[in-house]
Amino acid sequence: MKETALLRVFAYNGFHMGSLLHTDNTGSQEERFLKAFEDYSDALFRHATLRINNRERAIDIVHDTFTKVWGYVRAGHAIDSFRPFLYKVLNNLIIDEYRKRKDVSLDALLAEEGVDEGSFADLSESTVETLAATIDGKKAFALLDQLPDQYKEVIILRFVDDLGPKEIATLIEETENTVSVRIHRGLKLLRAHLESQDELAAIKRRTIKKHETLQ
Amino acid sequence: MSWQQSNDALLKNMKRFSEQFYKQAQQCTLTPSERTDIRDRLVSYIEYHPLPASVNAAEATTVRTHAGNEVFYSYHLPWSVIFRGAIGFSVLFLVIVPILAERAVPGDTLYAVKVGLTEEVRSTLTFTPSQRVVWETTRLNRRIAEAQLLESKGELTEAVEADVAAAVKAYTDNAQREIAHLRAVDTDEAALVELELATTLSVHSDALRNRTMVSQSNNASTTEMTNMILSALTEAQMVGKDASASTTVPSYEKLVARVEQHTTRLYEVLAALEQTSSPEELREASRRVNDIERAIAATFVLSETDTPAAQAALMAILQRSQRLLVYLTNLEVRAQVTLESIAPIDLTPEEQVTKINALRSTLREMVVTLEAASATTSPQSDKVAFARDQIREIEATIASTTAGYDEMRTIHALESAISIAEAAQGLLDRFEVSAPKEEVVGDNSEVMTATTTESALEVEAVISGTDSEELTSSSTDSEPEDLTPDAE
Repeated sequence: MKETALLRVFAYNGFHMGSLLHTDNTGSQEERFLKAFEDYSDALFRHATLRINNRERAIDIVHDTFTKVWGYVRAGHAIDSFRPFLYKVLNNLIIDEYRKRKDVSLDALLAEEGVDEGSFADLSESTVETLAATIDGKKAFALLDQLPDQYKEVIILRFVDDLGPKEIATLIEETENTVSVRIHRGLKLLRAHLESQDELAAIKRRTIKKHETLQ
Repeated sequence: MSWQQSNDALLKNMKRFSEQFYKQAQQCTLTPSERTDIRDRLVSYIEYHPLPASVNAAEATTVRTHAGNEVFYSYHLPWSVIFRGAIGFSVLFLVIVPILAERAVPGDTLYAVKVGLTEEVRSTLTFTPSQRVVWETTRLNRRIAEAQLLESKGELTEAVEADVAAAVKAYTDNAQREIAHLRAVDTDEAALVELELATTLSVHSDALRNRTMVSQSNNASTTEMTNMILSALTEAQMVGKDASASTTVPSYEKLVARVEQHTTRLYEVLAALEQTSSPEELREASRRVNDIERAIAATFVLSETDTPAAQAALMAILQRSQRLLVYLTNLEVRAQVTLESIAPIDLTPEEQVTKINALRSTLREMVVTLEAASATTSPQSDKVAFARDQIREIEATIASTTAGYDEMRTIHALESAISIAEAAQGLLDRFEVSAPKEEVVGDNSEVMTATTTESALEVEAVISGTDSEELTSSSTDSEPEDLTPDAE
């Protein structure tokens, strides 16, 4: 690879010091790109696996995500922070993957809901957290696959990738309110699934006990 | 208390949900082999799809890196960009700015660059005393041109005028110093450059003097300002004359070489003038150059018999060509004086004969008129008769000394005779005009006395070759009655 001779010039940082401390702009473009791979490949893989439930396909999507980002860099675009950009590309590729499968339509899922997501204007993050407090995380994680993808997407981004509602809203190009509503609904669905599962287990236990009593 | 407990429990449960969820998710991760495999594929991809050189350089200039220091951050600048920037700055400051500064005049931002940088650099690029004298002369031309340009815009202040006068003095001092050095080494070259400097000073002072005379009646302040430069030039000329008192005439060969340089330069200037000057101006300038060429050819012939005379003639040619060069290359000089006053036409033999005939014819007609006037009994007839006698003397001298008189001297003699005749004719005209006025006005006898006295004195001055003003001051009081019979 062709090396470019560089001179490092120091300058006063000024008011941008704080933002610079959080950026990962170190070294040449290649070095920065490979560092981004080391930092975010696991998280991206985890996100993709949870979303599409296919480990091999998730590996391919992660690889494609990085090649697309490299193509963007080659086109001469500057990337200040890799993380949100990588998530954006990954999310687009996952949507493409869904479209290829054709058995799940995001539009159809939204239509099924029949509720205007903007109507929960007073929904706040504390409400979401209050709801989450009533759910067993371990059991809820196991039931994640049973959620429609629009809810699964925001819950993974919120509780697995640890993104805030504002970051999620930017990523999926929705309003912050919509994101909070989806998280809330996703948690409610998870709790409903858990409750129905508990109820099913109770019925099962009662049936077994009844059988034992009859015998 | 119960509310506090429930709140704590809620927070604990919230935290527990997130931790449990996150912990479960962390179990889903790439194996080391999978990670290595993807990384290798990506490295190969990068190698097969490297960054274009332009993107690499451009991106590198904009990438900000955290230097690990809380006060400074660092840029990675490619050396190629630094070199390009250095070349750009060099071109800007060494080429573009000096070119723009060349048009600056005192008061402009870039004027300091012009005088303090460009001209000083050019000064250091002169390696011989002769080149230095030429350069100081050029600087002198530039300063005077700037002053004239400002004055034409009405922006010439007294301070700038004083600066220009000081610069004129400084440049001529420098030139004189260099000439003194040169004289010790090469007397011929010193004499040549001194001649050029003196001629340049002479042309500028002639132009300024002419301008001063013209503007005296219009604008007193302007006259005062140009006087500062004029006095500086006059002073410089005086210093030059004192210094060159013992200057020897350069050798014939050096004079010929320098004349050749001048004529070459003249043809270059003429070629350049074709783009900007009117056909009339161009014809006038070409005529002077042809005169110089003819004079050079005559000098070559003369040199075979009389080398010292040829040297003197070449010196005169050098002066003429230098005057012509200064005139043609300085717009402000051209604006103030005519070419004829700077470099008079040198008539060809045929033209000289034609002119002599024309002058004689004119003179003859005027003498006839004067003789008629002198034959009358008018009070001014004795003055006219005196003028007529003077003219006859001149004619007799021309006729009797044909061997010693060349055509040019004949022309000068005829011109002086005509000027006498014109003055006498003027006297007659004034008396003819003033006589009827006197009858009407009557009471203005004193005024008419003064007028007629001055007219008569002018005739005397022309005839005797003295200044009429001097005569006015000395004789107006002593002989008013003799010269103003009409007033009585």
